[in-house]
Amino acid sequence: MSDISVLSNQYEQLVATSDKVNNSVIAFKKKSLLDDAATKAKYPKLSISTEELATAKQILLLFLENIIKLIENDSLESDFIPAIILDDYKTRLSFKPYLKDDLKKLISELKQNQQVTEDDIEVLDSILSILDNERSILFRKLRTARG
Amino acid sequence: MISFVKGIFYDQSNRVTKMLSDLASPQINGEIDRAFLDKTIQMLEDLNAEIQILANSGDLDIDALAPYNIIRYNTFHERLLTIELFRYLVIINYGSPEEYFKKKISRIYTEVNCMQKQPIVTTISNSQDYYWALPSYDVIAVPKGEQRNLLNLPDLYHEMGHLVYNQHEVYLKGGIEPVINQYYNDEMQRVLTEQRDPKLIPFFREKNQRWISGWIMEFTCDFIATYLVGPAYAWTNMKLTTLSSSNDRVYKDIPSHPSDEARMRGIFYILEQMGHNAEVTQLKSSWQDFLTATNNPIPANYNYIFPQRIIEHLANNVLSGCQAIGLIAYNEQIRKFGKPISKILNDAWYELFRNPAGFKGWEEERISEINGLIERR
Repeated sequence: MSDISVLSNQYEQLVATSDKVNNSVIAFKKKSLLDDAATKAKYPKLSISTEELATAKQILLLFLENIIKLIENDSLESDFIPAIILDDYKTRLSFKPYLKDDLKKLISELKQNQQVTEDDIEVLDSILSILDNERSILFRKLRTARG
Repeated sequence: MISFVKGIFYDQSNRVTKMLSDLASPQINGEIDRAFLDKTIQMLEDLNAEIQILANSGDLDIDALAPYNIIRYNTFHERLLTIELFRYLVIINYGSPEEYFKKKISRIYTEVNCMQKQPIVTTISNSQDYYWALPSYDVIAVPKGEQRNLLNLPDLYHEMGHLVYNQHEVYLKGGIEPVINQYYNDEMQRVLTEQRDPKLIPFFREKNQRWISGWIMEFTCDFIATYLVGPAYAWTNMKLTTLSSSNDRVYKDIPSHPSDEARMRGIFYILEQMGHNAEVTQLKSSWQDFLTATNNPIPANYNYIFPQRIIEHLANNVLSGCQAIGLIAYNEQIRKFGKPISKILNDAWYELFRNPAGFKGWEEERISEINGLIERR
């Protein structure tokens, strides 16, 4: 009878993904801000360590490669996206026709340790936005789940 | 924008502090499980610490980070609401019905020989949300006033099943996953070799995924409940299915749950394996009449969604698993305890059929009897 136990497990998986990806994008955004001398001077507390960037890169590479697999329909499951929203997630990704090319370019840049540009961050923002939506929808389902 | 985003994080922290203050109140019922209360306080303190770390990091002062901070805020907010709904409200609303259920579930755990830590049963649910369990929090919720009813109580055993499954998943489901995967792989292969409709491929993939991610667990919890409470579980499930029938949902599956029709087939199979043949004959006859009367539509390709041999394979695994972890089956409970709560629940259904007009009084007497049983412990 309990939708809640299923939804709760899947929601927790999605929160873990959303947190990791959000924090990773923040790391690259901070790096981008620190590359600008004026911004650096404006926010003296702003900092990001090499280790934080390395972790962020590692997380994003795994996550983005998984998205490519999902877009190409090679994968029916994901370590990052819970099964219960996978179809909806893939549908939302499909609304962005250039996403696959943008992600492949970004993955290549990350692998070659190239500078992550503002354009790249915009791509990441669009992915984050989808994740945020899905997390919020799943949370509403969890809150209103019937037994 | 900066001051707004910063402000809502401080407001969030204040809400956490107020909840912590409520939980420290002497008015909190002393019967509440202390570990549950302490864990709730810990979760709120952890959340507050994370909000404080963020507030002190300087990130909230940077305009360019505002979109990411809003996502952080929303995630914290959802975490706070989750703690509020599944823990804080359970504690704040803990009263005499919960004390009654605490004794009752303790009695049931003894009768079925469940060695797990017993969950908190809370009455924060309602008739629409019905029974639900959150195994990660060790909470089972039942509708307010449920301590006065018997006919829904078999579903408490299903919710207990979720907690048992959480701990003993491997023993209970056994090797069913490769069997299911093989079945759908074979069907997908047949689509190619027999040139069937290509749309069947994504259809089979979806059903395969649903089996693995949700249906195995739900079937298993049905089977555990049937093993523990016998035919009464089938009648209670049939009562719940009545609600689905008005929405044409008897044969419909959803990602988290198999169809009611398939669940009933599984329950009947377990009852047959337990030797309840006479009861199954009566149940099947009523169920068939019910299906005819409600006349819900059967979806296309339904026979590929819940094949009987997969249901029976899983049911056999669950029966072996229940025995392996030492759970006591319904008939054995009767032999050991004479009149366990599960027996009273079965009697309730037969009394309802025998004398529906007099059932209310009979139910009140049996609830008093249960009170006597649990008070004597």
